[in-house]
Amino acid sequence: MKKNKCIAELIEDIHSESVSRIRSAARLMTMAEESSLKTVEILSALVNDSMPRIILGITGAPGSGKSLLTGRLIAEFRKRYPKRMIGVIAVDPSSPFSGGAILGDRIRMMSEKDADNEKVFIRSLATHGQIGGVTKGTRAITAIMGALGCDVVLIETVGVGQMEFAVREVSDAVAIILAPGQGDTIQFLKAGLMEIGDIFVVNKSDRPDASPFFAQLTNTLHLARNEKRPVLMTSALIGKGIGEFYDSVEELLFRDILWLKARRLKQTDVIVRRAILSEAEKRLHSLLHEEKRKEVVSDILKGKTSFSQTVEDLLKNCV
Amino acid sequence: MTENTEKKNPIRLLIGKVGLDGHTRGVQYVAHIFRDAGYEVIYPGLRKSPKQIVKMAIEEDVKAIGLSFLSGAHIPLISEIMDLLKDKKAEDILVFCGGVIPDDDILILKKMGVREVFTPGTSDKIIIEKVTALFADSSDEEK
Repeated sequence: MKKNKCIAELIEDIHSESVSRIRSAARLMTMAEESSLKTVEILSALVNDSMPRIILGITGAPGSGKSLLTGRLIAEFRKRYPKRMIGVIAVDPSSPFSGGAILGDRIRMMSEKDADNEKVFIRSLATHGQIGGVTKGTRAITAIMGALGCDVVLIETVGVGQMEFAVREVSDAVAIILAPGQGDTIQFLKAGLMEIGDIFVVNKSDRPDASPFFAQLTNTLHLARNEKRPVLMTSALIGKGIGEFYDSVEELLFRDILWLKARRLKQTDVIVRRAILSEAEKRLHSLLHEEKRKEVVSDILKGKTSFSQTVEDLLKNCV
Repeated sequence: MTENTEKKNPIRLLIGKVGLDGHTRGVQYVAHIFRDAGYEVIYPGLRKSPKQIVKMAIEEDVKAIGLSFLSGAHIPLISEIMDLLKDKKAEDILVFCGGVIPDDDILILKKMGVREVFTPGTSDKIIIEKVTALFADSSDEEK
């Protein structure tokens, strides 16, 4: 009960003109990260606030230039809409050993001009052992950014491989950032990451091998006749192609408002379902503490109890 | 019951440098030992202004700011940070620092509200212990 009130108080502060509204938003984000239950509580408390107009996922292999490119997009947005606010969620990995993390994406994101600008809000997150490239609090944090007044939110994932595509579940569109040297036709044909992209960006276009890489990628992606996903070239380093990249995001998302609404609704549905499942899992875990687990496992292995009966009993006790 | 079994998220810290001081070795080492001790460390890069440091600390909701100095400018820079934290009603974000800092200055810094000052030669174990103890204190105060 007290915790609920706390969420409400923080939200009230975010809606006010107080000096601490940014701080309250940041605190609420920390709460959103604590558990899936809190994530849902915050989402439902913010249901009447407007979500950001655009939520763009930015993903790709480590070293493709995601952070620098995100920084360039911030600058492009600031140039076009100096009065509007932009939010960025940047995810970096947690240590599998200590649980700690170094979150250093901000370094490449802020031009000196924007570094103390109140219209740019950057939040770094650690993965906390979750796979998929983003974290469970991401959606609620996006909603909090919306409540703060962010028009656009960029979600930059950890550097990913072929199988991390959870960013799709929290964004309106996904930009896959590639760099020359990252594979050939066969890589582009594979299932997984390449399927979830809405926009493909070949970064590091200042490199001589960028053009052949771009041609190969375009050819492969456009093999299917109705395939129209845009493929672009950028150089985050020298700031080339950024305007075109931003244009294609806006274009993509304003084609079909109804589709966008449906997509967001479905995403929220998944998040709520996940929260219920994770709560069930937590309860199961607390039932199966270390000693109990040993006993249960040994009983099953020795044939004392049947596995299906054990599962049945455990699940009943959970409720 | 479920609340107890929930693993708490790591404490978040901002470990960085302010002003025109490009000596990264110390600050990166300290960021590293905090990572290994299970902290989430926001590393903001070099040559940040006090205003930028405070903005980041607030957005990232860190419990403490740890600053490294080799420039000799620790007193004016930290005093500016303390004032900004007060302006933003964020005085509960603790500040500690380290680096080449004369004994007399340590007293001045502590008077400003800096919680710990680590001078060259301090072991990583001591740094972690003392900073961790700061959070034990502050959580008592909340209750």
